[in-house]
Amino acid sequence: MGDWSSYSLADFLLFSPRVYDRMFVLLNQDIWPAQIALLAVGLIVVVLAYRGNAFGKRVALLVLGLFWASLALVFFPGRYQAINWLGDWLALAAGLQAALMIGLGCLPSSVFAPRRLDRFSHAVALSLLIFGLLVYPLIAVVAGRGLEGAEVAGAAPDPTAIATLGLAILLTGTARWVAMAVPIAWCVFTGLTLWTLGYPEFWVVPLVVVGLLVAVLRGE
Amino acid sequence: MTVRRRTFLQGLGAASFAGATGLHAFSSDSAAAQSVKAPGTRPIPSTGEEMPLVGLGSWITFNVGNDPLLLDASAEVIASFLTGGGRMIDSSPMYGSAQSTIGYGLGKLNYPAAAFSADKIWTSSPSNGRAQLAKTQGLWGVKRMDLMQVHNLLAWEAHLKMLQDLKAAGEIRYVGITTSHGRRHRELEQIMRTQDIDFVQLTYNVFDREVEGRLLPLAREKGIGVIVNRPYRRGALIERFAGKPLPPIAGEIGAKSWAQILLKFVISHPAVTCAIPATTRVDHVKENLAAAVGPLPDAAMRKRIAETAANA
Repeated sequence: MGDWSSYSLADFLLFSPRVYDRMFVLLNQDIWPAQIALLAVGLIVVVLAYRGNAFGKRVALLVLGLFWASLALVFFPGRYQAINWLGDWLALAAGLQAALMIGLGCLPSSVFAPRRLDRFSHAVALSLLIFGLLVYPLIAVVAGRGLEGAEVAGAAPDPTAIATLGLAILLTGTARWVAMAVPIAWCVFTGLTLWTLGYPEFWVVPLVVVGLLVAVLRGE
Repeated sequence: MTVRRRTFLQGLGAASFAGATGLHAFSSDSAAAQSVKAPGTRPIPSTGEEMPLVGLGSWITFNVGNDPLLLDASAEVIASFLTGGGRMIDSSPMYGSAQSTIGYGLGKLNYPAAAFSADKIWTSSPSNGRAQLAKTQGLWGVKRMDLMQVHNLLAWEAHLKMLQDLKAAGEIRYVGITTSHGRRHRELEQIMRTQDIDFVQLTYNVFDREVEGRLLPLAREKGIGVIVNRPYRRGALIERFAGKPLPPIAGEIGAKSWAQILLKFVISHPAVTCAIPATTRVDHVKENLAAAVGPLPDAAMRKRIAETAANA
């Protein structure tokens, strides 16, 4: 590829909005009614995270780790790969994220130590968890795609990444940053994808990253 | 295209054959097929085989994954294209699931012999080209591809040699090389001057006209067929002229829409063998094919079209 300056983001987009929307519609049809269970589990994670003790964080890490494992085993290789040859690589990244979070959740570690967060940072963390685990499916409704196109954490990557970033704020030490790497990368990737596709809500996920960074920097 | 199952037209009704152009057409309704005017053709320079001036691209439009609804919609587009007299369908391993979508569409039609399969080698590994071709043939559902091109000059030396060897062995019929967006034209020109290729694929439209200076004349001089991608700048030109009144020249060249004016501009260049607009819509396929029916603009008209488009 000679002149990279002649490329635009649209040159790297392989699919149309119609295909992207239909991918989630078909996914939801195939896994129904698992979405209800995922939302219920998400609610439990929010409650545990709100309580803030080590047990709650550990369970939250394990649950979100399993969510990433679902993305690595089902969504990316089975759905996304069909329309984007990056799917298998993204599955690998999701698998690494799953292993990381499950590992953190299982091993005795200082990542669960009580952490002094200012109220803003704590509020951002909980907001991201609530938004990712419970509210995000409604984006599809607001955007006019209907509940049949809803993206639910554990089945779709965007809400899973958002919730993971919320949980990461509550962790301590190096684990925070390591846990954030893949979700942040995905948020940037999906923001660019939605922007190129022309989705009006393209800014939502990148805004999450900005909020996250503000919260983390204030809390340091 | 050498078909996997030579059941040409089974279940589809009678074929019509536009003998003067060498063009096949088929339909489930033979009367309807006869009423469709075949698009104009131009000979492939290296063999004289007639090729309809309008083909079918697949970038984005046929990347529909495993969605059964969209697969059927794509199959309808392919069926409409072939029924309307089109032949060349172009794809690439880069285009997601487009190759398998084309295979699905052709399979539903029992692999019509009229279809001209054009695809690409897209890998930076010189040793992977042969395996990629085999995979491509499997996805298309054919035993022999008509045209294989080196995609965007990627590792072109090794791939082109491999394709030329396959052509000599009769395993493919034509070889070519592609570029898009006006990139790497100097290197492309050098390849056209020094390599034995049947086709070159490049970007050309009413606003992207750099190729008129050197590459298109060189193609004529060297007897290389020209496949034009992005004739509508991936739909941007259609949007640009949406709602604007048709200029007077539309009537002179038998164009009923801006899309047809734009496409007639491209295919009327004497060096162009085939333009390959992509679409998801049957009505657009018909509109595109119809652009190759009837009069094409001459040099003076082409100049007027370019001026009109620039000022519209």
